[in-house]
Amino acid sequence: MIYNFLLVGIGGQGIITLSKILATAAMLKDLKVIVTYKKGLAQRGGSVGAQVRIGDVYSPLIPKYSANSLLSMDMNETFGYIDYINKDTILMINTKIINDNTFLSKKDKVKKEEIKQLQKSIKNNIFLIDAELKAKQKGMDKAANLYLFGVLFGLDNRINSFFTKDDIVYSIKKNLRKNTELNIELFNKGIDFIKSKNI
Amino acid sequence: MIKKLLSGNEAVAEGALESGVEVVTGYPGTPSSELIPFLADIVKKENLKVYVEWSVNEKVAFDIATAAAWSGKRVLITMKMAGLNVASDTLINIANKGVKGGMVIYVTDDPGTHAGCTEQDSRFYSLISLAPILDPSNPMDAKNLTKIAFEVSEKIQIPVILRSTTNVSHTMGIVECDSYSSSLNRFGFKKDAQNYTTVLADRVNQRKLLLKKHVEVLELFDKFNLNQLDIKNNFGVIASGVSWAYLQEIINYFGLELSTLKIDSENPWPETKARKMIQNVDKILVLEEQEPIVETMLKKTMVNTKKVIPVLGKEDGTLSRVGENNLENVADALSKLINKKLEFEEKIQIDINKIKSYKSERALTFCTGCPHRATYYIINEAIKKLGFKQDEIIVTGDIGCTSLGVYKPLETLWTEVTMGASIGLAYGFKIAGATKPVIATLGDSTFFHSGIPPLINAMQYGCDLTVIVLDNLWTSMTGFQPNPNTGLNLFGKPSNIVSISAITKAIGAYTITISPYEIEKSIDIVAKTISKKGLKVIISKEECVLQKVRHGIKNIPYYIGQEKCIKCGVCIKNTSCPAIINDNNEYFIDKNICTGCGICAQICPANAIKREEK
Repeated sequence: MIYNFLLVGIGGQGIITLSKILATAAMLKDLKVIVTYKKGLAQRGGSVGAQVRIGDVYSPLIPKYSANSLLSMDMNETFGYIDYINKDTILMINTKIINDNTFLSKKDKVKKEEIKQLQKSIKNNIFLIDAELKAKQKGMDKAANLYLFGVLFGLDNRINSFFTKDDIVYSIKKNLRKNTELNIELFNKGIDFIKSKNI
Repeated sequence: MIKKLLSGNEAVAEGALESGVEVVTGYPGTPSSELIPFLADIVKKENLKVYVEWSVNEKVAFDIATAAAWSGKRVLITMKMAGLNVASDTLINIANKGVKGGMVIYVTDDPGTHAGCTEQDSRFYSLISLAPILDPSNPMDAKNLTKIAFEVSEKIQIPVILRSTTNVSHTMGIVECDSYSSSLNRFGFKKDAQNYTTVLADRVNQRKLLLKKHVEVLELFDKFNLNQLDIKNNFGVIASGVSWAYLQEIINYFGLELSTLKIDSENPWPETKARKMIQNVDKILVLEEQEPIVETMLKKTMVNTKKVIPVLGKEDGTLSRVGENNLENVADALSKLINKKLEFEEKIQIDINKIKSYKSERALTFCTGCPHRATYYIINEAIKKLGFKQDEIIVTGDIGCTSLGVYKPLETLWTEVTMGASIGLAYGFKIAGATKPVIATLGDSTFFHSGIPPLINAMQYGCDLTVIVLDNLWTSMTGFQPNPNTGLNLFGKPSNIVSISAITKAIGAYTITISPYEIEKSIDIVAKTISKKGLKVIISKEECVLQKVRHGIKNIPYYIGQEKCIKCGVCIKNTSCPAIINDNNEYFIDKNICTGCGICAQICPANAIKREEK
């Protein structure tokens, strides 16, 4: 069995940290794992994409239309990876769009409409979540990645077949040097949120 | 043996330490930069006796490592493809003279040019220098091949090139690691001018010896079980580098049976195995990135075997000579080989191009509070102040963060070529007939790397030129490496500071330093300096803001007083500072990301931007 995580966002949103948490958890379970990063040229504020592949994998890249889940920390970034989704891909999208004077055109205001268009055109599971807000309520605006991942983890049983909640918690502890407990709490809150929805 | 999750770059560091490397030098360059900091971290933690440094440029790194290798030490030199161009002079010379301690040259190529350099296939350096090459396909492979490279290099006394690509260097995988070797070789460089000088050497004989060494290298590669051949049926596939990983995925996913040859070394070429492959199959697909080197070698072997069979590769257009391979184009090529369509997943029934067009592309810009943004604004304003239009005054750019001055809204730069080229080009425009002022801009690390010789050249021939060094104390673009100007080595310990102004003054250039956060004053100085005759150097000095923030120095952020704001947008239009938000024509500053550089406050015509109270 193969599971392909596609994690996307903007530099500084914790994409790389999340990929390391997943990879460490996989390694601890003695699973084969490959992680690849695509980063832009700029030091800060550029597109960041991580591909985490678990199972019987050899290639660093996910085949087209083969992501099992797409976790996006920035709504605008989601569109750029749409050729990785298939009819079963779960889309977990943070409603944040990193402010932008750096957009080449002034389209940023209409993103929510376009996400609705996307929702209409596919029958996939799409979750739009203000993960930033949830994290900020805990005074942790940088832990939105783990809240969003918590929701995905709680929803997708395929991930549970690789590792348990405790495996992820252990990996968070191994990868984060500060605010570990708050990050774990947000991960758990994400799981609780989706469980309460009874999907 | 323990399992570690390592990137290709880290795996090479691990392999070098397991091989008992004693001297490591290099110059940062994506995608190779992570190797040295990772290795230095281990050296520090484990208290290993390994000398590690970021050198001033790749050639100097190579020269230093050469002496260490001639003294019997195992050495590793790291760089990106463009860096090997700089170091190639030494590489080609040393290949002829040979080494004593094992020497591994780690060079990373970037097919698809993710890091913004021109595409280059560094395997050609193996063909031109005759230094053998190894070409890993994944991190585990990278570690193994590093160890083999050291063994072979030391045994045959020949430098070995280890060539990686972005999707190997920046891919993390599970790597089985052993303990670090501490068998240190004693310093032992003996005078032998017949070998170590070029004038006294029997250069013809050295060349003959080098070719003889190639035969021995190939024998050793066979002993290490490299270039594995697996004949299963009459469909042949030969693959090198990361393409081998794509091939494995596809074979496994679709349950294919194929005859395969994994190319670990393009040079020396595994002629015997290639012949066996040709004799046993009816058709061969070659999978490699960039130039058709394996393909050319294979065709040469076919001529030697007198059996010519169809080859699918780059020359027949099955695969491209440009960009990187991926699962899709490799699967398509395999489909063509076996006459069966290979598809991973069904394409989703939506208009993908339409959805992709929803994405707003971001322009590249400087980080919030970057002093370079201020410097380019100052240059633009100084040009205006002198009565010129921006597109009248040639401003040459250089490599690194400073190259971002080419983007909107500043658009200061006209050219960006190679390390230090800004000054040589600017001088060239003057002698070619540019009558108006010409300005060259470059960063501090670039200045040390290759900026000094062209400055001397301009001085010798008395050129009217303004050189602006954007000095932020760090080699920032590649991950904040220290340089001769930083005052620290890569362990964070104090090192001597080499002063840029002392160098430029010694060359004889009029030299003045500005502070880029003092906008008006600096515009005035820059305009006056451009007007002066002769060679002038302006050093715009301010530490990289990301480094300052990391060290806990953050200035008090600014805010926009809404009652005073005339909503002209000058603050955004002139800077594209990511901290300034335009929300339906209401302007705000995100105080969480504002670093308090104060550029916007200085250029606001309504004086509406103020510093927050403490």
